[in-house]
Amino acid sequence: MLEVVEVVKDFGGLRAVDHVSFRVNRGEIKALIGPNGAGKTTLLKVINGLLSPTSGEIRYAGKRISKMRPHSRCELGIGSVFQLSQLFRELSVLENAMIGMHCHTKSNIITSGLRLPVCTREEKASRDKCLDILSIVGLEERASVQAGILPIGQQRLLEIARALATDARLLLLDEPAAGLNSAEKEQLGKVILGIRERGADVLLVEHDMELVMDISDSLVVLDYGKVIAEGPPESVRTNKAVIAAYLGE
Amino acid sequence: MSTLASIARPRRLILYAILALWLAFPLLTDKTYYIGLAITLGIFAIVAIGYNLVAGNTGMFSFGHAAFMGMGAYTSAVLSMKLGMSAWIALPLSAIVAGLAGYLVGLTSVRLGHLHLAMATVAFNIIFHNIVVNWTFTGGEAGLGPLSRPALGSLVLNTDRKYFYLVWFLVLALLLFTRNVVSGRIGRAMAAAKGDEIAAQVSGINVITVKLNAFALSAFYAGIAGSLLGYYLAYVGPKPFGTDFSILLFLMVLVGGFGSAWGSLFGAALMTFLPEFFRFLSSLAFIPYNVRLVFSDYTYNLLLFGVAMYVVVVYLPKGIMGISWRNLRLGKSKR
Repeated sequence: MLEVVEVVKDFGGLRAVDHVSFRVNRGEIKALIGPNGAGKTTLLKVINGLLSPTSGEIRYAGKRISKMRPHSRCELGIGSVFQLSQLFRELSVLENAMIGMHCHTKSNIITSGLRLPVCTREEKASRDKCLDILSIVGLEERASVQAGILPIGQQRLLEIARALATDARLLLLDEPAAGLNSAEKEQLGKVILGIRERGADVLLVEHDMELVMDISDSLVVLDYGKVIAEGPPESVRTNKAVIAAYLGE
Repeated sequence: MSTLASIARPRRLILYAILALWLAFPLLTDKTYYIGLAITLGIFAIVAIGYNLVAGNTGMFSFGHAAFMGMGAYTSAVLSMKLGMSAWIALPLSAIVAGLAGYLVGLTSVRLGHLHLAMATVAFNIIFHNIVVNWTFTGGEAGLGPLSRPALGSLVLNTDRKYFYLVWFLVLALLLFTRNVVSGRIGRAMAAAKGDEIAAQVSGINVITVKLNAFALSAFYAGIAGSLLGYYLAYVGPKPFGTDFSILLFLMVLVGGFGSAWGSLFGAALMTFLPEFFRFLSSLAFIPYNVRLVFSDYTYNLLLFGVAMYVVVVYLPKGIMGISWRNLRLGKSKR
């Protein structure tokens, strides 16, 4: 579904991503790992459109998307969850999830303002769908709670819920386990596997090796912006170059 | 932040009772001074509720909205006086023109950060003011007039009382409309654009479009208000549409609470009635003369105003609607 083709990203004199190529296939959970500063987050941002590549291509479902703006890529089905909390803290849990429905709904100022039936129907359908999604991540009980007061594990799950509400077929997760305790990490793992069950692919940047090994179908290892290994978890784990990169030469 | 729905039942009924009284009072009094004040309040409320959409809900602090009000007023004046158009057609047309102007100004401003957006909108306000003052077509300093009151066949809105009902019908209609927009898909998109633009973008929201529409919609409201003012005064001039009114608008919405349409109404009420309150205080005989002077002298009035604003900004940053009404012991809360 996702093809990263010879992507290069330079920041002035610094080459953050160096001719990286790989694919994420249908129904695959791929983990992008590597030491800090290896270019993983930069690569995710190139994929979702917050950064544009210096050279190279991103293809999604066969389409070249390198020139598309972030919100258009989301409409295509690319959902993102970032490391630093990007919740709308003042809004409720349900409202946060419903924001994900925006790109696939069409009530406009006139139909909303005049409360036309087409709008109320759409609103109800959105609500129901989001409550459904919230129950997948286990947050349906807290639907009317203000998002800002949730503990971090639940905030992360809410962000995933919001991305799911956009009907994402590819989920980009940037260190979703950061700051979570082991119970929350287990819950997170289950949710990610559940996402795959529902037909979406996942590209996961993560440092927690236990989680990575547990749920990933394959790994891509980055070091100084270059791919140094790729393959199923077991083979990558024993790869000499990978070990050297993490432990230092 | 409280919304009307979160205020418990007994208190909401009180609010509705006050609203009913308010709507009935022009029938109970002949004092056109007060009815006139209420009309002015209604007009300010309309532009404030619109401004709240762009500043409170979408987080864009424009300081040029008086110009959109002016656009509505002048367009109505030109359409009615030079083309003989009926007010009922001229008013919505002027609002649309104002809305378009809002969209165009938005095109230049929405990508800017807070400070630069403020500067750009002030600049627009100044440009608008300069044009209408120096252009003979818009009557220069003297303005355009006289404008005849709107008439539906033989029903002419020639008394303040009748005009009051026109204005307040629009205020309530626009309040409901706003409430519906804010609680739905568009309102959520505005809140997202305000809260975290990047998160909104990766969640599929075209932030630029949302912001442009907010600008256009708020300018539309301002256009309605401007036209209403023009037909009320039977005259349109440059004076009310300068940057000082734009700043007053900001204060109205600040006092009421950013993001709350009802709050903007209360904020407008406060700003309209504060000078009246001062005037009242200056007439009370039991207050020592020197103190009364403070309330009656215009310069001192301004000072008091400034102090009052400062107090609000420091102690009530979320405005009136930000006060946790639920914590006031006035009856059992719903939650």
